[in-house]
Amino acid sequence: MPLLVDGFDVQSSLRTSPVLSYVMSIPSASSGAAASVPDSDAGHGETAAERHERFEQDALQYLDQLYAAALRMTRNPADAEDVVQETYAKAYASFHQFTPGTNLKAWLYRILTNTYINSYRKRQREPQLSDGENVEDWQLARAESHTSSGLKSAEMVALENLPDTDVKEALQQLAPDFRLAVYLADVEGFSYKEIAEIMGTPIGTVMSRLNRGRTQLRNLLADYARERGIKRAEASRT
Amino acid sequence: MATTVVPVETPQGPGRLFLDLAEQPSTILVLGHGAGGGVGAADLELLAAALPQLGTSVVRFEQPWRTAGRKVGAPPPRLDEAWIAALEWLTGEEWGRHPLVVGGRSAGARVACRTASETNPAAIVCLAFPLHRPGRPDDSRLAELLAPTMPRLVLQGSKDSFGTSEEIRAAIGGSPEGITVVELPGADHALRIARRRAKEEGADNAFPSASDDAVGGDKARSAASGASNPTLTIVTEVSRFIAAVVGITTS
Amino acid sequence: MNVERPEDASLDDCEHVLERVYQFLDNEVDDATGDAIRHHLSMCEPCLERFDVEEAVKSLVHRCCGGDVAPSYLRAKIVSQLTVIRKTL
Repeated sequence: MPLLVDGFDVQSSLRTSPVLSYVMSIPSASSGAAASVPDSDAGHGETAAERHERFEQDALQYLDQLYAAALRMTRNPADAEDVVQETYAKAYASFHQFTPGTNLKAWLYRILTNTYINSYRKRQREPQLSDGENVEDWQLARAESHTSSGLKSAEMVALENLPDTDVKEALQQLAPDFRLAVYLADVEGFSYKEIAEIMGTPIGTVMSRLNRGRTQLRNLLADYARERGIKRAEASRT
Repeated sequence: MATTVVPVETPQGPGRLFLDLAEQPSTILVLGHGAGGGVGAADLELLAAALPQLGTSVVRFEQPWRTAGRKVGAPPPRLDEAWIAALEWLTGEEWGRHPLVVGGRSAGARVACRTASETNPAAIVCLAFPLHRPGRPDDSRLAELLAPTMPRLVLQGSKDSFGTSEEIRAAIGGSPEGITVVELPGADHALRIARRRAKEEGADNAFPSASDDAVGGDKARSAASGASNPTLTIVTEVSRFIAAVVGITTS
Repeated sequence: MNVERPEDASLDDCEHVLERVYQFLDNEVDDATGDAIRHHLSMCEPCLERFDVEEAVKSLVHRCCGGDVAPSYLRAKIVSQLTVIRKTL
């Protein structure tokens, strides 16, 4: 998909314009980094006004996404707004520390995660996940036998027909660390490496959280699907 | 205009700056909170709401321990380190031009005094300086109050269990240079006056919250009968003090 | 049910394949492993079904749990905030 910025073909200018490259950077499983770009000196000779412009143009485009993520984390719009405001405040205040040419979106998400953890979650004292997770944990949740996937074909259909609200609600029931990891992977498509950077944990922990979060989620959705299946069966009988 | 909240990194972890800017600032006042609360303390909120209208931008710094949701404050060296780091963040275009006044309430006032030689403010505002712990008059922090060389304002309640205005005056004794002590009659460590006590002292109502639009809306019953009004007193004394300091430093 | 075992030794076990379901769906496996998994799935219906379920859950989350739009006033608030910060920090 061509990306035009002010009528300018970004793709062709990727190599020569490091500043734009992070707009284009796609989470990559193998490298986890943006396409190879020369070290940028976009910061050199840039006035405060120019940096302000660059921030408004580049960082603010992620407002909706950051808000959506904040909504999943805080569970209510007022807190989500506060978290997003503080995120942008912090990002702007430390924008001079951000290296142009690197993944701006992941950087913003890292700030969002930290802002949420530092300012809100600690104060609200949500039950913290144990820090006992390690790389081996995810291997403990081994593949079950084929008979215990919990879902059969008919319910698979029901699963796919679940209303959005059910899915959102199921996600909300996950513990914060699981919920965030699943969100970053499935909604935003960040790589494991990026999620690890955003959440400030080793990749093994990310995999563990995804494994457990998704297992829990799958079971919750299976419950919902079964309920709706049962309700539908009952409804069709009456 | 709403307060702008900015998380800032310090060696002690992330803290937050609460910015209430004046439209045409002539001074900046940076305030720290105490051990028992945060930047939402009534007097801090009051100054943040009132002073910008009078030309002083107010920055309240929330210590990292508080930002992290802990109930107990960090020890003095860590408070100092975080405070100094917070001040280092204040390097925006406006700041260089205007005199810096620091201060705080309670433990925050101590931090401001202890670090003054490093932060080099034009003056220090102390709200309820904790001279000693309740019931432990010998355990005095007077030295911290005396150490700075720049002008200091001390707003102190006459019933402050951490050291009354009288105790402070007595402690300072013959070396009042640069220290102005203003008493808030009947006020406790929170600079609050209990209603019953207010009547006894002939003072005005208990300290109304900032949300009561205390400054602008404080209509009647002011100093006419000699009764004191802590809200007005706090705002008036601090702004008067700052104006005097600014006058000195810009001349 | 009769499951033909694929050639690849390291993934001839359904258990090994299922261990990697999330990595596979997240595009976090290398090409060789991905090929081996696909090969196994082409011959093992139960594993395929399990992969399908996990993929369905992933799609559901993707479809349902994002896409919120920030209220219109939030952008303005943030922009005015930036000015305050620029003056201060």
